[in-house]
Amino acid sequence: MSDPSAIEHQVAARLDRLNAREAILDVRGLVKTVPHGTSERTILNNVHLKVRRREFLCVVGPSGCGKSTLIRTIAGLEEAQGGDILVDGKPVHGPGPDRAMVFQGYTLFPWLTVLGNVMFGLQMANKPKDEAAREARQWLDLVGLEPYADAYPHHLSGGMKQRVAIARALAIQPRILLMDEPFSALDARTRARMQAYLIDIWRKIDVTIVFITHDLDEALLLADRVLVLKTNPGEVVELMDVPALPGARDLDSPALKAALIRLEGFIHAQEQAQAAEDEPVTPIVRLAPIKDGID
Amino acid sequence: MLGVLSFILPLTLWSAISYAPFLWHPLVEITDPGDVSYFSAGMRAPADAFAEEVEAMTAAGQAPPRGVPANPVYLPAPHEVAIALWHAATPAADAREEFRLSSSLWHSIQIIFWAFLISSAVGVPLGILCGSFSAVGRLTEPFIEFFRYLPAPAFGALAVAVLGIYDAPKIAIVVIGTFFQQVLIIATTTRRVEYALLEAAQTLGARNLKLVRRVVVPAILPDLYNDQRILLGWAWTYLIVAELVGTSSGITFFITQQARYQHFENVYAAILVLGIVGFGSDLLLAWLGRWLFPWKRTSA
Amino acid sequence: MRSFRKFIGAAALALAAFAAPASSTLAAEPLKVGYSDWPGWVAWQVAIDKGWFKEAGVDVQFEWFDYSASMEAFGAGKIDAVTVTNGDTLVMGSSGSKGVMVMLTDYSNGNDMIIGKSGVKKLADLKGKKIGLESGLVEHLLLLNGLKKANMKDTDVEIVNVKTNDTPQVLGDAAISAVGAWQPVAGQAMKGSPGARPLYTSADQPGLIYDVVTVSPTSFASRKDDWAKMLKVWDRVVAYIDDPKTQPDAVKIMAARSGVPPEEYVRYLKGTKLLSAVEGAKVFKDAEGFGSLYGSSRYADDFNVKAGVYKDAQDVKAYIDPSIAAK
Ligand SMILES: Nc1ncnc2c1ncn2[C@@H]1O[C@H](COP(=O)(O)OP(=O)(O)OP(=O)(O)O)[C@@H](O)[C@H]1O
Ligand SMILES: [Mg+2]
Repeated sequence: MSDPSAIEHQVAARLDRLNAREAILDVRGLVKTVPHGTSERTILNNVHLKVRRREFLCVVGPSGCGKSTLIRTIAGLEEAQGGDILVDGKPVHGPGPDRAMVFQGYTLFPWLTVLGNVMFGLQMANKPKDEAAREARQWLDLVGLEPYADAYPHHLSGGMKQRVAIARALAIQPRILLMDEPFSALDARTRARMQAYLIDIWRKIDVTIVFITHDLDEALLLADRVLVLKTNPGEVVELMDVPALPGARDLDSPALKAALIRLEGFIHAQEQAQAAEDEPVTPIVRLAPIKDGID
Repeated sequence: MLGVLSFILPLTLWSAISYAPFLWHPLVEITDPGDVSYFSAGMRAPADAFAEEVEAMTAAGQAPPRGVPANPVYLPAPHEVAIALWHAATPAADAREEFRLSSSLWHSIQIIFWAFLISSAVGVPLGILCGSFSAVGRLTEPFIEFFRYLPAPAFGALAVAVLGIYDAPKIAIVVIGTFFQQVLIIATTTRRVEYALLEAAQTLGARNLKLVRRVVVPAILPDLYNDQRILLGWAWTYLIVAELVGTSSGITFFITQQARYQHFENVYAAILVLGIVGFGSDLLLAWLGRWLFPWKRTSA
Repeated sequence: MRSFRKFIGAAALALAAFAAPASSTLAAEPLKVGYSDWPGWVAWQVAIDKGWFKEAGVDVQFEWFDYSASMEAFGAGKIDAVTVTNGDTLVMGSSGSKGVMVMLTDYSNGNDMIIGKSGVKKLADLKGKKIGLESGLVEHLLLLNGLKKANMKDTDVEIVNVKTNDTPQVLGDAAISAVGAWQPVAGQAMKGSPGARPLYTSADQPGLIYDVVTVSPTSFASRKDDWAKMLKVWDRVVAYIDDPKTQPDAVKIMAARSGVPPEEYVRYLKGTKLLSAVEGAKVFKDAEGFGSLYGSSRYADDFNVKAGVYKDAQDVKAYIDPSIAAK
């Protein structure tokens, strides 16, 4: 196909343009602690992060490193104990319609139809009902679910539910779309389709995405940049540029393969450090060794 | 099928005990007192006392009493209850209102209706607020927790003094008995609302009362409906004490008056009708619930 | 959401359909009298059904209660008068619900009784035995009166406090030798326990328990004429019930009020001595002994204090107003 060095060039140029844009999300020295017995436990420590307009940022890190906590704090669902979160330069407190969120679990309102779900945020913004309905239909059309407008969520498959959730989040026209492992409950085939959908939608509209995943392939398929967090406390280890253009990406390309190996390196180092720290656990159930010499 | 059987089995047992003389029948209903001075026709005597008298009379050469095995009057046979039910369904034209099962029951239903409406009008919103805003909960719930242990009947005299002698104090007793429980149950149900839905709504711009009205209420509505169904049954149990205050009326008066004069077939007929009404309305409400909340498959 | 609104709408409609069950009138209040299931009081039903109050030119509204609920309503000031026993008038008054006895309806003449189990022939046989009755109420009074006559002390028997309605079942208990109850409960108790018989009844001590109309002092002061008319109506009721020609009709009315067949009701009527106005006037003379309401009430007052129903002896005279009845 195309020349690898030419692509490298285009990617670099694109990232330069991105970096020249104003930061939509600016996280400065974020600290998040939770009470732990009599003392406190630091979950996120001094996290700095700038996300540019229309950027697609993926956050990866070992399980329990604080990815969800980070995105929930940005969404305003959790309070930070230190640092600032700025959206468009203004500090935010509590949830707001400038930051919409798609959760890992299905959070559609079961008593509302698909259309009603997508209209919800619009009506919260006091849009008249017919206008809200018209707009909601357009968003449904965008995710390809217009024919299901009058169905109830329990009639939809998991993938369809998440598409409705995306339409619902986008309908309020947020500055930032926060997504916490939105596809991890889906089967591999559906997930692949959803990834393609998401990229397609993202390219069509003016939205900045912060996307959490534990699947490194997914991060490399979707993101402009990948933020790697480490565990205990959660700190930024690396902010890596993805050496590919948006759109259909080939994970087998040498550049992405190399990127994957780098990411794996970070995560692996993390996990080893974690394993060394963990106390050895004595198993409660001791399996009887099978004496056939294979072991 | 099993549902039908669950009714047939007790009915069979009841019939067996009533009609098979060798089962239970601890008494003898005297048909002819003979020469026993203190026996009289229609009286029920313990089987052993009866046997003693038969022996004594025969030995003395006097007329022995005669009788048939019988159960205590407290357990009428199914056919007697059926006849009582029939009489209840077709009351004599000159029967007093209070002794018509249908008007007694209708009176009680009105008491329950008003009491439940009043209790719900305050209790449901308050319960939802308690469950939604912890400040409201902390402000009201300790007192309510305390108050719900006070027996509602204890307020009977006070209710009469304040509200008069007719239906108002009865309604008040049912309200007192239901309301506090209602607030607590509904607050608990409200707290069980899926937290993720609340968070999702918040990220979509829902706040405070709007959040309560547009998310909390619809989210708990099927459970709230079921709670209300259970609370309605609860209200019925308070009717029994409520109808003892003020003027005598309603199904409780019907039952106690009939029991006082030992017309247990009427008592059982009333109990049966109460059961049918309660069970029937509950079935109806359950069915209505499934129709009202189609998205909630588990509501049954 | 929409279906929920529909539901609310339906509820509101139903609400409107139910509306207006209880509303009280303000103009020219009728006299409100609470009565309950005792033959001497059910007798008023004859006058009610026949419209005799209207004929006498007095506006009276009778309200049907359970006995204790009727006293509660009187205590709460929700009715002007209540039909009670003379002893219970004192009990109500001791707790602040003052009422005056202005006319008599009857005295219990056998309807209250102490019933002994088979084998117990007289009160003296009860020495050291257990007796089930509602402590502090009329049956308790009756028992103590009987014991005194049998030269026994209160402590010779053991009282087990049970609800009068439960006495038939209680009499079946092996540990219990006798119960105290009034009709119709007393009848059931005897029916259910072969060989059981009355040991002592209110007929053995006429005037021990008088049944009266107790009126709130304010109502009596302001509407004495109306209460006097009530007494006239009562006289007519007694005549109607005592006359063998009209008695069946009267019994039919009374039986319907109590919800029992007339033939069953005649029995209960026998245990009650209805008092005409002339008979009542004699009882309203202050004298010692049970022939006088005063004497009977003093006896009841003694009992109430002794039984711990209330602490301080009551001034019996303050509870009796003979101004219309003693004429
Ligand atoms: N409210 C809380 N109280 C106590 N501990 C908490 C709280 N919230 C999060 N934690 C802890 O903080 C750490 C980070 O949690 P978080 O859910 O953010 O991790 P994560 O990176 O999203 O993990 P996963 O990949 O499993 O989703 C975990 O160890 C978790 O137990
Ligand atoms: Mg997570």
